[in-house]
Amino acid sequence: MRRKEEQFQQLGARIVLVGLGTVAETAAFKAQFNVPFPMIADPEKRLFKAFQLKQATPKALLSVGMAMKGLAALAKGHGIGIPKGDVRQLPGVFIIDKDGRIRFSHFAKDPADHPAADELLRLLESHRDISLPASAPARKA
Amino acid sequence: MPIDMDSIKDQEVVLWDDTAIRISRFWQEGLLVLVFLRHYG
Repeated sequence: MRRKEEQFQQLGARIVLVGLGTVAETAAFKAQFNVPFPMIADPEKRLFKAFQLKQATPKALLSVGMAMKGLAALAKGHGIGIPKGDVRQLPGVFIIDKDGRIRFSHFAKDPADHPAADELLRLLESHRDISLPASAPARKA
Repeated sequence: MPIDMDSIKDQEVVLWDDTAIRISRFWQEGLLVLVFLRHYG
C-alpha cells in the first residue's frame, strides 16, 4: 500500500492506519517501517469495536492455513517479533466518503486476510462517483 | 447491527505523535481508506 500511495492520492483517497499498540509502540512501528501514513493508536480497541471487527478463535489462529500464511510471510522477508496488541483481534479495511458513509468494508477472516492495494485501487478507480458497494450496513453520519 | 457512524464521527482518536483529533476530520476532505492492522510484531 505504501508503494501505491501516489495512486491512492490521485484517486482522491487518503490512507490512515489504526493499530493496536500504545502511542509509543505506534510511533516506533511507524518509524521502524517508514510508514508514510497517519497512524491512530487504539490500544483499548475503541475503534476496532466501533467498526465491529471481530476476534479470531484460537482454532482459527492455530489452523494449517494460518501456518501456511505465516511461512509465506517469512519467505517474503517479514520477521517474527514479540506481538504487541491482542493477537486475536482481526483487522479490516473501510472506505469512507466525505459524508461519513461507509462505501466499502472488508472484515478479515483471519489475521492475514486483507484486500490487496491493487484491489482497493480498482474499486476506487471503477467507482469514481463514489458509488462503491457497501458490504456492511452503515448509518449515515 | 449496523455500524453507527453517527457516534463514531465524534470519537476522538490519538495519533502516533500523541495528538488527539476527531476521527471525522480524516474523511471531511475526501475519501478515507481506514486500514485496521493486526497486532504489531
